[in-house]
Amino acid sequence: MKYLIILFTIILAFESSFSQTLTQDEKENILEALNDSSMNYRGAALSAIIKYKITEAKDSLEKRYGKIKEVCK
Amino acid sequence: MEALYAVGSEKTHEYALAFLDTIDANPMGNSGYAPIPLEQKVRATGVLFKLGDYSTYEYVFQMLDEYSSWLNSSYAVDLLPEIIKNIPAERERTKNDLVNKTLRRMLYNDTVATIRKQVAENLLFRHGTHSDYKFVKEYLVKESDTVIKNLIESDLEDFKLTILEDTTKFENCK
Repeated sequence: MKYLIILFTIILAFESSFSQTLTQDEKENILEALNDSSMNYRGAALSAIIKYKITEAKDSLEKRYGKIKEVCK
Repeated sequence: MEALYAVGSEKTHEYALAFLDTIDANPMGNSGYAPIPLEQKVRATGVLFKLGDYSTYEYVFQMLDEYSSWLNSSYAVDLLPEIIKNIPAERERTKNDLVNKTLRRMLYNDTVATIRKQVAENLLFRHGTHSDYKFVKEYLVKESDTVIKNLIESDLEDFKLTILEDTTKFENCK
C-alpha cells in the first residue's frame, strides 16, 4: 500500500496531464499517509494536500500543528 | 504551514507565528526529524506573506546572507518580489540582493566565457562586498577558460589593491 501511495503522489506532483480531480479513495490514502511513521510518506502526503487543496485534511493538520505548539510551551 | 494555508485553515496565521517563536528551541517539533531552521523560518514567512503579514521579512535577508548559491536560497529569492511590492522601505536593499543573486547564478551557469568575466567584474566592482570577493575567488577554481581565469584573477587582485587601506575588512579572505 505504501508504495502505491508514494507512487501515486509522485505521479500527482509531476504529471501535469494527470486528472486534477481526486477520488474519495485517493484522498483517504493521502490522509492515511499523513500519519505514516515514514517522514517521506508524510512529506509526499503534505505535497499532495498542498497541490490539490484537500480540505478534508484540515482537522488533522490543525491537530498536528496544535501539538507542536503545545510541545513548545 | 503551507498545507494549513492550502486547506484554508483559520489557524494558519496563529500557528505560523507560534512556529517561528519556537523553532529555535524545538526544531524537531513532533515531526521526528530536524529540518534546517532558517529554511523553515523562510517558508513560514512565505505563508505569512500570503496572509498579508510581512513582519518576519528579515529571515529572507538572513537566508540570502547565509546561503550564497541560488539553489540553496531559492525560498528566499522567491519572496523578494513580495518585499519589493509591499515593504517600500526595503525596496533598494531587496533590488540589490536580487541583482547580486542573479549575477552569482550567472557566474556559474553562463556558457559564454566573456560574459562570466563581465559578471565577475560586476560582482566585484558594482557590489564589492567581502562576500562577493569570497564568492568570485571560490568560483575561480571552477573557471574552465584559462584566459578568462587569468583576467578574473587580475580583477581580484585589482579589487584587493583598491581596498587595501581598509585592511581589516578583508583580513579573512586573503
